[in-house]
Amino acid sequence: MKEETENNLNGRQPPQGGGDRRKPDPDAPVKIMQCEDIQGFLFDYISGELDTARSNLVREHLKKCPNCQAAAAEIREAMNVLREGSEALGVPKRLSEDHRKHLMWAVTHPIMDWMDRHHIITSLILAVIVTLYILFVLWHFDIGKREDAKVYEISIMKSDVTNAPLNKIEEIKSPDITNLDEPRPEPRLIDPRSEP
Amino acid sequence: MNQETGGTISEAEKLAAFNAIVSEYESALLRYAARIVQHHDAAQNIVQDAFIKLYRNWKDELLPSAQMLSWLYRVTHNCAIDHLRHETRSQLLHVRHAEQRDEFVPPNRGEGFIISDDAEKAVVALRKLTLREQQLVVLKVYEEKSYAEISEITGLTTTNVGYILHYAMKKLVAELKKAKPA
Repeated sequence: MKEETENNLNGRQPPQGGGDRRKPDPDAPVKIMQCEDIQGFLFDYISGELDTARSNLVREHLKKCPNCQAAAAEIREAMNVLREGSEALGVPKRLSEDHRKHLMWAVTHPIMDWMDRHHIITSLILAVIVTLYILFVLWHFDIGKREDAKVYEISIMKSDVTNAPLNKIEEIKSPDITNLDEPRPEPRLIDPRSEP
Repeated sequence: MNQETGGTISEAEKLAAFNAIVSEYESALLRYAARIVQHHDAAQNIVQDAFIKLYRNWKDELLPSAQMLSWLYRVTHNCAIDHLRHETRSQLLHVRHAEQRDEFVPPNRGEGFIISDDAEKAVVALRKLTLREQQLVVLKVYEEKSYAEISEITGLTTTNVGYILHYAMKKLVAELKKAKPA
């Protein structure tokens, strides 16, 4: 009988599409319940979720059915073990001082809290901002640019030039670019033998 | 000037009301979260996050109500699920491996988390259930909520709540029978 009951229970399908197979219909006449029906409602009965009529039926059935009594006892025992086990776990009753402080800080500093929670995204955004700033500074102050426009004064000696005649080239001075109207002096060849 | 003063008072009042709500519900939510994730420190973080979400998203007046408690349970449950999903791969593999071997390896539950044999048995049995079943068992057996309240928290119909609980209890009875010494 017990096996038959379990098979029947295992064969029950969950309610589909809002179907209400377990919900008692208040208008439906209450039929005489068999063990299989009773065991399907035992947990509801123990936890006080059945309506009065069905609850009375289950109670009456339990008085005379040892199988259902055993099933009810097993459910009660399981509930007791769970409750005792739960008490033994010693769950904290209050938020810790640190969590409480952090909670109040988070609700009063939402942006900082967001940055704290999304620290990877925040780091990436900051890295991009810093990189863009550095690039802007480099571009704005011409740091690293070659200074081609600057004119240096140089002098070339004839003796530095290979295959050159004995003549010496007088120093060529770079023109003064600030005074472009002044004519540039032509280099002058001098015969060193004619020099004193 | 008046507006500024009014705004400041309003914000201070909101914070005071929020503080009162935290004091009112923290215990129940900590119990719930700790039973789902089996970790004290994680439960503290989860409940803290749930309250932050409450402060930011609750549109009505911050006054304790059944509706607010249901909302908080729902958010706490979602945060707990997120936490379980974000557990490290190695931990998950470890647990799965233990399940395959049909034995239970107690997870790291944080400092000072001492557990008795009976509690361990209950935890083992509870862990064998699906997350949805665990949620309903915790709400019904530990928190002693009615089907209607559970329905409001989970979004399931009361019929479904009863149905899932019926089969969850059957599984629990079978697991606890197995764990019982002969």
